[in-house]
Amino acid sequence: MRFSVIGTMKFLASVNYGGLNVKKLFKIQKPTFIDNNSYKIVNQRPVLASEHIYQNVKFMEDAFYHTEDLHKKEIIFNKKRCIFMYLHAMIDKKVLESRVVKPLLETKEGDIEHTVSVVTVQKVNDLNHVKMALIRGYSALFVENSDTVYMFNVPSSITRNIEEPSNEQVIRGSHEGMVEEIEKNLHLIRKRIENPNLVVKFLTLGEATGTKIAILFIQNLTNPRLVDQVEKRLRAITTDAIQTPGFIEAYIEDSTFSPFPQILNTERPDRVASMLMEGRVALLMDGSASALVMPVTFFTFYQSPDDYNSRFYAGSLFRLFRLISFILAISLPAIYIATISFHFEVIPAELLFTVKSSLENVPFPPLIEAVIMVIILELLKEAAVRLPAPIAQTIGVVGGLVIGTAIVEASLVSNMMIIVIALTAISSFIVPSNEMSVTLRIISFPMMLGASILGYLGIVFILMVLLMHLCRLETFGTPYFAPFAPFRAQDIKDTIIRLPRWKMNQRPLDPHPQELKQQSISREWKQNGK
Amino acid sequence: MESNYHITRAQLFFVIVQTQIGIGILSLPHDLHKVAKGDSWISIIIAGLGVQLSIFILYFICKRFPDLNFYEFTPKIVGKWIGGFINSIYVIYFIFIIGLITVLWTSILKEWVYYQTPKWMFYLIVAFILLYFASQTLRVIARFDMFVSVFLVVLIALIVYSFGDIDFRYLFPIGQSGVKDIISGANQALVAMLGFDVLLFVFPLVKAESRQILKTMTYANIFVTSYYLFVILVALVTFAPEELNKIPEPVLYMLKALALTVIERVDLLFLSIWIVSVATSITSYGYLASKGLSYFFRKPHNRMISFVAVSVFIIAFIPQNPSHIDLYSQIMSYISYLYVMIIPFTLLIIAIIKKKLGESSK
Repeated sequence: MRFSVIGTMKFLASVNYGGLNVKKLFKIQKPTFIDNNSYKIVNQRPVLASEHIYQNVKFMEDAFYHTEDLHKKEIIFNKKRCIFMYLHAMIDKKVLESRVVKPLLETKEGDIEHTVSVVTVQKVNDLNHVKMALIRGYSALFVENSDTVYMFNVPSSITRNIEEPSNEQVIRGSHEGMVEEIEKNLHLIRKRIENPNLVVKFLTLGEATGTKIAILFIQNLTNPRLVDQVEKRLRAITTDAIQTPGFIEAYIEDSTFSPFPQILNTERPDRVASMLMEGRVALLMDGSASALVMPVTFFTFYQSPDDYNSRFYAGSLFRLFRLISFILAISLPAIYIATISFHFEVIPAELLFTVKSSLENVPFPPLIEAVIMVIILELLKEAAVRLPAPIAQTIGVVGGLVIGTAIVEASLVSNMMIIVIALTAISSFIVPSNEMSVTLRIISFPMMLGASILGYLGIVFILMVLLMHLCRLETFGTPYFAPFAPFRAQDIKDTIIRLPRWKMNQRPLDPHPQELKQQSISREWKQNGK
Repeated sequence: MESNYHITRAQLFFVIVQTQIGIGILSLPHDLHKVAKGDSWISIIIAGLGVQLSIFILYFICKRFPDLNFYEFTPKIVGKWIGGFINSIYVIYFIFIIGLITVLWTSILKEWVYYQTPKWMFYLIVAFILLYFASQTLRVIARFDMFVSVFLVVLIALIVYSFGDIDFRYLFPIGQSGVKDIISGANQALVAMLGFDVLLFVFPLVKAESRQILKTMTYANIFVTSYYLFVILVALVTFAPEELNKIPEPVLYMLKALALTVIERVDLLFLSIWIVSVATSITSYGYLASKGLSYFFRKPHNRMISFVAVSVFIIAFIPQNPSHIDLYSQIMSYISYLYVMIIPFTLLIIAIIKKKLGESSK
């Protein structure tokens, strides 16, 4: 950044030395835009508005490099020339017209602030501040012979409707999903936690994009050290562009090279609210419909709001199924490979013939077979995601009928392998979180390799390494594999099973909330024997 | 939030148990029976009592230096040079123990499942376990040990399930093999019981009063002794004495007889799973060895572990045939008296005479 002498003097001019008005002393009237040749948003020193209206307007035009969507509109008010400036796309023209311009034109004289009917009216005299506000959807009003600039907040908001997020659907429960606008998302969350302790901290990240981030937590519940830690890590980000929450995730998570996701990505406001009530911290980002929640444990990725809406047995059963699906997804192909290439003895005799006959004509070793099938599956999946719905159906036909049966008839892959891979794929899709499901499919590769080298021993070895990794992993100072490592029996209530809500008198310990107790006995009437 | 290195009492319990129970259990009934016959179970109780005695010695010496571990207090007791020497022979001892575990484990695996897989494959696995597992902090190791203790229950469940025709007469007459053989049986059992000496090194890291630690250690010893006792009793009543002398891994033979509806050979599955218990023992010793090296070279222990891994990898190639392995095992079982009893006891006496006491915070 270059500073001219004028810039420094302007800075001096803004300071009032003990009642002596320095501005008049220096007689600096002309604000000039100093190009610092950087595309980044840098904190520039205040540039005072001049009393010459055209100089101010020229400054703004220069500051925006004469971009063509910066519009000007001139009116006369109080018999003075007034000029509106705004970024055409960022403001709501109807609001500007009816709430600001029309009242001014009709009254013709008076106090500007009280004439217009907009909630936020600011009076500033720093042109750099005006510049930044224009980007955010303000309209600026420059008045002749006045160094005060009026700012009206008339943003246009173009958002889609609130819909249920397609990757986190539930059968029962709230069907609201978050949208790409931070204010609406905040509204959705505040509506669920009507409590003044819900605190929001705003932050701007990305030196060029200036993306707005909100940190949400509950005062007096969330561990203050956790909030500090999150804020510290966010402030350390020096990138010029933040496009998606994935960027933030990568910057602030503890182990980027771990296969496991350590921050929960969710588009459900009810999920965010319940996470906040457990003493966790949520991040919202302008321009993204998903919130980031931290710290989370491994088992968070296996919870779904549906669990709490169904009966205790159903909720617990589905939790168990999901965890079984975890084991199946990572180890089923590996177990199959190990069994048929190392431990044929393990299969009972009756089953042996079926397995053996299906393998008879296949020329490849089981590992190659499995890899072929897994790759085909991933290709189909990826194609189906990217294609528009009508064509995606074709992929289903191609995948299911053509590849499924044809590949067996051509003796490239055995029947058994198709079954195994199909089961694995279904298991990996059961996980409520997409990141975790991808993780599972990635882990299954080293498992298959281990199985083809050392049989069961290889599988157990890789599983053991994985377990050690889970024990070691910590996110924001809390163990990732809690409540199993370190073991805490009471916290199992909401992991592999889901106990009835009235049993959960305490919050989970892993985010170290300031208050563990979340309820006392809520079914007292039952104990009285009535 | 508490310090990142301390472990709880429960974690100490599982670290000790997991270090003690390892590859030894698979062949323990056979090894004992060779010497003590039907009285093997008395031998194991005596071995348990011996371990308890040793735990007392270790406890008393640790109590004098509650904030220091063994590597730190030996120089305080006997001076820098002799202390350094003692520490270095401990490091060597731990490396050789890992070597022994590796060799025994490999030989069982090669005998039972992997006839054709080359030895170095298994040595590589051990080296990897050392490099990745033993380089973690004690707290992470403890979390892991606690989680995998589920497998101890699995073994018991499988053994109970495999109860076939049992004959209690094999146990009688009690005392058939005489005091001398029973004692030498206890000596055989000691190799399988090793691992409680970890206390010397983790004592200052346990978040509890020293009396509580002694209690936990006693519970751990009772647990391991009764675990072994159960396995040995089942083996004694299941197999005839002649059988037991011929089969080197009675526990696996017991499981081999078992056929679940979907798994025909439980022993193969179990042998694979048992790598976890072997790994925990290796991890503990690897941690101790690298910790010792870290005091010599003044570097964090996770940077010394590669030295341990390479040494074990080389040592494991030395014994070439079963008689070598037997000899190796014998030597280690005799030497271990020196390490778990005699040296700590001598140090304790010297410390008492010299009235050396560490600053107490517990």
